[in-house]
Amino acid sequence: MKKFSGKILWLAIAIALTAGVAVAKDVDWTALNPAFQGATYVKDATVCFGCHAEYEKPYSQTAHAKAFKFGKTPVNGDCESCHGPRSKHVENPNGELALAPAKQMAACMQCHEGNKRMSWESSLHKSAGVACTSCHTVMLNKSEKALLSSAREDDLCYKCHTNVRSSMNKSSHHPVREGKVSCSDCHNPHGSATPAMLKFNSVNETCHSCHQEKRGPFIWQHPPVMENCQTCHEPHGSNNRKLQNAKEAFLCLSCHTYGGHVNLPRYNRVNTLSGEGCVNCHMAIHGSNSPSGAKLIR
Amino acid sequence: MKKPIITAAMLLLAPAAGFSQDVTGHVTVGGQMEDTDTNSSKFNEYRDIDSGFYLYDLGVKTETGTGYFLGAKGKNVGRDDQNLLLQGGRYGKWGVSLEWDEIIHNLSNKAQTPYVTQGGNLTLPGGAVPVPNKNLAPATNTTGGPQQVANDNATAAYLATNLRPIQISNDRKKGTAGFSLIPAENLKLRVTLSNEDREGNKVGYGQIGDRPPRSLSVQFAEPIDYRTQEAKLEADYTGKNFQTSFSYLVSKFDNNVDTLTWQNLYTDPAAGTFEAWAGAKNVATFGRRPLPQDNLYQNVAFSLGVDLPMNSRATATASYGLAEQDENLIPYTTNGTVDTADGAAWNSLSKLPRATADAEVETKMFNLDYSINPIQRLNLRAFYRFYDLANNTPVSDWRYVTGDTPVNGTTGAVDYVNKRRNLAYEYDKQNFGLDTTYSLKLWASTIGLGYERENIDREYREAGTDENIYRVSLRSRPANWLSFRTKYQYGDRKADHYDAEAAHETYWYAPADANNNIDSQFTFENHADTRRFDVTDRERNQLDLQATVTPTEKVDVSASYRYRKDDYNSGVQPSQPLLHYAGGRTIAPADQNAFTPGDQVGLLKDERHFYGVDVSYTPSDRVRFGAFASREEAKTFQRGFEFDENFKLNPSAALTTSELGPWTREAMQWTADIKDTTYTVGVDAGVAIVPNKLNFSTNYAFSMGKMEIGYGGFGTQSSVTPATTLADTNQFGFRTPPPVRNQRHTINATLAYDIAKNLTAALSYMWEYYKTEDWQQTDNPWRESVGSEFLTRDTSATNTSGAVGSQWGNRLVNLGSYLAPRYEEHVVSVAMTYKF
Repeated sequence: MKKFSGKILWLAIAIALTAGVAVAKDVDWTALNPAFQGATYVKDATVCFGCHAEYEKPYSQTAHAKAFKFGKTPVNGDCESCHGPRSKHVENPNGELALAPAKQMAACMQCHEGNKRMSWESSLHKSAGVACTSCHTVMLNKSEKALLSSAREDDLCYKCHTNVRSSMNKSSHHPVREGKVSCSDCHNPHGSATPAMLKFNSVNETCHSCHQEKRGPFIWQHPPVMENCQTCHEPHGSNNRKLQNAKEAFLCLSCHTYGGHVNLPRYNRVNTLSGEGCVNCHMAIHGSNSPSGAKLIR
Repeated sequence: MKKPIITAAMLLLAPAAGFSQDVTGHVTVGGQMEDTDTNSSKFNEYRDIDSGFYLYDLGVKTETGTGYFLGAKGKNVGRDDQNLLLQGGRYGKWGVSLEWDEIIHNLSNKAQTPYVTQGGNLTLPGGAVPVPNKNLAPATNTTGGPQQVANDNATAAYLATNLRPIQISNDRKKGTAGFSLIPAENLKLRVTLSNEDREGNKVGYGQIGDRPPRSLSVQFAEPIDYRTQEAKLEADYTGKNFQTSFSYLVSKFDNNVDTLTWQNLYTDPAAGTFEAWAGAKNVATFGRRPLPQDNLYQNVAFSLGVDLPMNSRATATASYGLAEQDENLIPYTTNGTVDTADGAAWNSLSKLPRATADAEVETKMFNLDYSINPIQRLNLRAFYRFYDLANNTPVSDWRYVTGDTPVNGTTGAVDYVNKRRNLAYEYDKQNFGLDTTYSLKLWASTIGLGYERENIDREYREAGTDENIYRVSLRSRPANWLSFRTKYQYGDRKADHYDAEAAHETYWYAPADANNNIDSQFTFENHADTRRFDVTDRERNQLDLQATVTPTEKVDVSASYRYRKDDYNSGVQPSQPLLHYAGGRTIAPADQNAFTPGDQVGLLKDERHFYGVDVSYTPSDRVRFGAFASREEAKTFQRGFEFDENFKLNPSAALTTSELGPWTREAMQWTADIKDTTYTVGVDAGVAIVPNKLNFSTNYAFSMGKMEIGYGGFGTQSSVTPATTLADTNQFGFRTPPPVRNQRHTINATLAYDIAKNLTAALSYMWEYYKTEDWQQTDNPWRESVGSEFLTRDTSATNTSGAVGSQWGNRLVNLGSYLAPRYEEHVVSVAMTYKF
């Protein structure tokens, strides 16, 4: 494994050191809104703030303003790199150059099409008509990071995902409402190569990003555990303990009918009506490394 | 103040030398008083709310004006749930961040245990319970029952004097360092290093004894002492019309407590590794099991996105992962009984087929997406995804000891079914399909259609599955004030061939080894009518509806409904599981030809409804109001089937008068209709009483869950004479239990007064009420406490004397009810916020 990791590291460094010529993605403003036809770039933000003064100070605190000011200033100027050539708007500020949210995305994608947003074009959100400005407020900091439209990320997501809000308020839950886990810890709202826009390659890999002790692998695997944690757990919240989909023994009994004590929620040979049901004995439920772990009781 | 060093460092960062051109920030400090009527762990399950001084919020940022910046943020500084962040760098060039985050998880403030924890050892300072009857299998008659009761009373008396309080909680402390660099305008590099320590304990279990009912079970605090170290390297390169991304992750998990050893409550360690009990049972004096093993995970991923002609785009991602775990194995057992079959003691490592786990799993993922807008308004998307999990863990033949206790202490024999082979479960999954959307001019609508196919091939499981998924959607805006969206999805999954005998491969005993009629390798593992819901047929219907009405600029109302139904009906028919019996035991023709009833067993249906409504009203700049309410109802239906496994091979020989009947008896079935209902309500309001001077905000949240199990069939009724109701004290007696409920109310209110331009004083009040009821955590008709909640036993009477049954297996020495007590909390706080 040292050879594997070493080779990968060198490959990573080699790729990382490859430099290229900077070329920004072009935007066809006329295609987005024919009213842009004939418009030219003003390239002077003071002209914009002459009318839109209320935005100047809040915008100056945002990451975009900082990046444009201290990084490479866009060729077309600070404001117009996102809003398009505004000469016609200066001459006649009648709103004809306004863009629908779906069209505004092209402006964002000039710079933000890579990395976490690489799969945006094929994402569930885009296909559902969600636009960049559905979740982001570019002109002022409403949130601590990512220019979100709400102070809290989960409140933003709950505006559409009301069923998840209900789940997160259940008795057994991840500490999302306590502010210690966020939706984006598991999901990439910009899309990903994994269903449900998970950040990692599978449900299990997502869970294991925090629950590394359950990663194994183990000698004795519990097959449904190995395939999908959601076979037994509901990560958004549950009225059952430990985010389980069903109450203690009833969860196990949805798959197991070996006979004897296994098949009933109550049988006086075992204590399934105390503690955590079947797990009172089968405590290695996620997998076992014990030579005597075939039944996951070690 | 728990962490003064960190706090002092944070505060000292503000006037960082050299960064004096522009310093901004804020600090919120204050104090709070908490009043509670109970010491409930649930209130502070994931947070640290207590009386005392608080540095609630801290934010400091300074910039040079030439692009360099340095900033620090902190929340609940110095508390067990604090978050601290230090960032610096140069805009558009490079950045450094250091973050410290703590998450606490409180599980119980009321647990008690006779054990003392020392690393991975749980010992009993009070010695063992002086049980008068050392017999794992007391007779189920007038003698056995009272013997067991005498043991229970001795245990209860022991616990009364030897229990000690123990906090059940654990916390995560994670430090993360990140460095980002933009060496060229289109190239970004990031390195992230993290170290997380997780310490404390959680609820764990230990069972000693060969198998139920001869099981001595105990619940205790399992130590947690984990460390996870991760390093991630990322690189993004952006060209004119393409983007690439590369990442490499290595994650190392270490458990400082490899093995947990617990002293048997009922045996004296002075006897050695085992104590000789009646019936030739050598009962181990210590139990031992491995705790989560050290493991290493690596993942490398590469993504490419390309903008192509005709307004199209292709993205591809390839990823490879490797998970390894190679811990040294512990022996089969702590028990030193000699196995006369080979003359070796069972606690000898020489009996193992290999010395280390050598466990390894590889994952490969490839995803390809192509999206095109061939004509205006039309979007087409084609996709393919492949995910493969390959299990390279070697397969070995094991012959293990159940619960540290051989079946026969004289010969050291273990059950013949204990000859088990670990199987390398693995699977691969392919998803491919086509989605299309078309935008209509009418009502600015968009209609969507989609088809997806999912194929899963599995190794060593009952079935692979194939599913066709169809989707149709519509979103529309008939008017400026009205928009709606709807989506319907239908999925039809089929198991390619459900092999109920897939588990046979996990046994390696010879046919002649079987000395009873269980013989699972050659009969069946699970009842043949069982269909495991994750690998069987499924018909899924899902409907989503959402509408938003904005009658005025000030009012916004949205409503949503979601319906999903999963039907796992797999067309189960009566079958003859023994028809091709190839074992070594004699089978009567009547049994070989015996039929199952043919009613599908397992999870059969899952149906959910969700209703939600949200309202926001902003009558003016000074007032805002919001509310939401939702109801979620989940109904599941499952069938179970009890049978006596000792008659797997010869169901016809099972006594017709025995409640524990054969697998052919339809009256052995039971059903559970489970209804899980959740109500959530929230209200929030904000008022600028005096604009820019005096503000009031408040919110109320309510959540109530109710889980009902409607139980019927065997357990409620006799399997011999179904018209007869079984008593609660019958060993199989069970019926619809009381609902499980929980509810939480929270009110927050804050009055904020701007004393000066940069100084705000706030008075806040929080009230929270929580209540829970769970029949499984209290005495009920089927389970009772013995002396206290720390020892529970079944209520059944299995002996003629009418006393409780003589079955060790249904006893549980436990930490106390899991229930966090009902609580009602009041928290008042006063805080000052200064902005600079």
